[in-house]
Amino acid sequence: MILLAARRSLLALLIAAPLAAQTRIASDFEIQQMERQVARSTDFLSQLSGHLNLGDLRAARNESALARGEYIKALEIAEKERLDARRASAMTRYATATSYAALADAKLGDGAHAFVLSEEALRYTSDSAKTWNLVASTMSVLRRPAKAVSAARNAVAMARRDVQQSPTTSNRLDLGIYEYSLASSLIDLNQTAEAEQLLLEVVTSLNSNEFSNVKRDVARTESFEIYSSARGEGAAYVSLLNRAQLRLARLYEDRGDIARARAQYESVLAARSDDPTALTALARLARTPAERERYYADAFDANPFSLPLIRDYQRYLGEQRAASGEQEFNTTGAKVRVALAQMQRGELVAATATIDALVLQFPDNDTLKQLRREIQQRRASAEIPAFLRSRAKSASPTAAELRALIALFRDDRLTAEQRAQLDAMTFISTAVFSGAPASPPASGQTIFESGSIDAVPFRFAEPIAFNGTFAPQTPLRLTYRILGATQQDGADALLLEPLRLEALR
Amino acid sequence: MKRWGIVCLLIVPGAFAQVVTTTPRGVALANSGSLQLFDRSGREVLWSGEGVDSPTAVIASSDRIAVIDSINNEARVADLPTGRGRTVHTGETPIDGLFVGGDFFLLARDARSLDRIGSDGAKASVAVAADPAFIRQAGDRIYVYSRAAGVLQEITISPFAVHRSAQVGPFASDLELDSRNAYLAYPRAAKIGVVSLASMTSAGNIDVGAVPVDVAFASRSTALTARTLAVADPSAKRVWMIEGAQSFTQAVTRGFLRGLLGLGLFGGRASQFPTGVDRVIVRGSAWFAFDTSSGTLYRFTKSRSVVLAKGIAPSAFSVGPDGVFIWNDAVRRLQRLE
Repeated sequence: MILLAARRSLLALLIAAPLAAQTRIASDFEIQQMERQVARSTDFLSQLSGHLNLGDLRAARNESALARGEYIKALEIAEKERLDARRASAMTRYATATSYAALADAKLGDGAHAFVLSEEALRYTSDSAKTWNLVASTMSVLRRPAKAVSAARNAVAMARRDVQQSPTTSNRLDLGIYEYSLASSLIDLNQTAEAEQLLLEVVTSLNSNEFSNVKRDVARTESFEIYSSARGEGAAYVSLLNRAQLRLARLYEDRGDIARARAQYESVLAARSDDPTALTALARLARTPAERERYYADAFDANPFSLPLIRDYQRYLGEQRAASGEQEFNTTGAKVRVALAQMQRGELVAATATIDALVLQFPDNDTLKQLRREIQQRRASAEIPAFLRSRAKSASPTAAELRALIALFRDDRLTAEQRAQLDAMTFISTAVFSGAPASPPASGQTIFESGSIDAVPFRFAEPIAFNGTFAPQTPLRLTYRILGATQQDGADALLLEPLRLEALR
Repeated sequence: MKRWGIVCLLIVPGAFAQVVTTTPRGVALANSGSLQLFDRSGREVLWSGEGVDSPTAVIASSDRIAVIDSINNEARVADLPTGRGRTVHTGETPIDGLFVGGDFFLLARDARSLDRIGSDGAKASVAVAADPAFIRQAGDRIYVYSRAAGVLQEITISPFAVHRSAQVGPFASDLELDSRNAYLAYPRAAKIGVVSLASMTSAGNIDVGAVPVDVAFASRSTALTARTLAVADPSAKRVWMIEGAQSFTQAVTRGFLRGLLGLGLFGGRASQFPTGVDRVIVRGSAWFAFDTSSGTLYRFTKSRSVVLAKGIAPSAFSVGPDGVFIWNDAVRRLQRLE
């Protein structure tokens, strides 16, 4: 994440939410603000920062096609401004537009063009800290941290001179932004000691009385929005403090200073309770399972499409045994977590259905498409259970084999020979039946309809009366045939034909 | 005049991965991954060899050539007659270079170093001041100007070391040297700063236009005039012609002679362009100017300008003794304009 300062005008107001009836994703508000800014403003910086911010916000949600569209618009605006400025013989304006064109080009992946444009801007304004910071940002986007560090050092050196000569709030804020850029690039180069020192200086400075006027304005206007291209001192202050604290916290976390890391993350949440990065981090650093679950739930609500969060959560699920059916479905974040839990349990058909429903709501989201691809790959690569390749007449299948069998049924990938082998086999497993019998059983009988084998759900075609008295939720020895795949309480399940039920010996 | 006056090309903009340079043996073209040498007409390929991923500059001597990749920190140094050479990893952001004898001197901006790469690939390096931007040669010395630091450094070739440094003012956009002086263009201050190479001290400033960006030597000194500098000023949409530095005695003598002969100094002192030009190139008696924002290449005299091509990248054309060569990205060909 880069941070640019363009502190010359005000932000526009809120427009109607596009995600009616959804719990708001954290960046929804910023997207609405920027869409409104773009719709209402005509000046270059408002238009440019609006599209750059929209691109960054979309990118953070892994909506790459939408992000690219915004960056293309930003580039067009910057290119037009370059030509207009040259016609008007306004060379500083031309250099600024050229710097932004370079940044937009970098975001679009055109490194060669971005480099040439950055050089062109420097011909006219190599005395400008802002130009050097834009070069640093461009190089950072192009993943050239050594170049970014060099450019950022120039920006910081110039801004420090400016602060020495004129220690205004505006100059101090600019210095903080450039120090943050430098620190970010140093982190990319693994030069963390200097980065930590810089970030500490930035956070300390922002929390000091030097910014009391800005802090009062922020409190009065209840500003909380985070932008990569912030406009106005208040917006720049809020965004810079947020980003600097997050960076500093991550440095603390990476070197094992958990207490300091938590303090910084919690400070971020004190200013903005739905910051997805801080929530994800606090889930990682949680002291109890309940705390972890709570932070994960909040983090997914804040940004359901963050791949780092999703990978974190998948690792967490891998360490846990993902329980089924415990999730609430009323938020996008919760639905994504359900899908991840289904993937973890191997309920790939159900996971596909969950993701497909989300894709209908968020058709441009790359995270959902990626998860769907991952599910499809796992389904396609589901191994044929060993018993289907044998001539055995009976088997005691593992949970993995039963889940693979469900996927094979769902994808219709069983050959005629394999189906014949399956039909010829009987299976023996330890089953746990669920719930009370569907209707009062006759004396000496027990009626069951569904249950699970090693956490793999199953059900019968109809309630079956077994001779004998058996309790639900008790491990029992079930002998059965496998008829196919079905759904049980929304989850993938096997359709079984019971042959015998008896107590475990 | 008729020979060059009317040729005009409209070329698709956006080609930034090609660099064209004229050399004593023909025209060099660097594309992504390849380096080619064409004959002097630009039609026949003399050789084609390995290049760099993102060529940003090509430097040639009479018998060697180097293509620089500023983004990926690489340079391909090759023999000009054969194209055989080696690719070397450079310091961070190689930005400019020159050949002296068999050695290639390469300025790495973000490494803040001047690297010497021998013909055998052996490397040596000297540290230079912050933001080194330009490297030039005068006699047996190399001069490096560091933009943010505002330092001009004189570097001896043997031993390879910084010999003298002078604080000359930061943020210049161009540096040119003659045997006596260094000329630095300061766009913000609207001045050309002159530094005496003998003393490495300021020899004064020349006020020029509104935003002087690029400098080229337009003529040698004569009995009547000092050396003439052409200065591109995109804000004024002009190329200014000014006299370079001269001693007090020279100035008095030349003024006296002009008085005797009844001559003014440059009756038409500037050329007007429809767009702002920010680069000026002089080849013999032919003057060229380039507008980077629109990619327009002009040929001009003191009284008029003619568009030669539009929509070309700053590095995609070269002016040499055998003509003007451009890379036309629309048809993917090297073309000779005149």
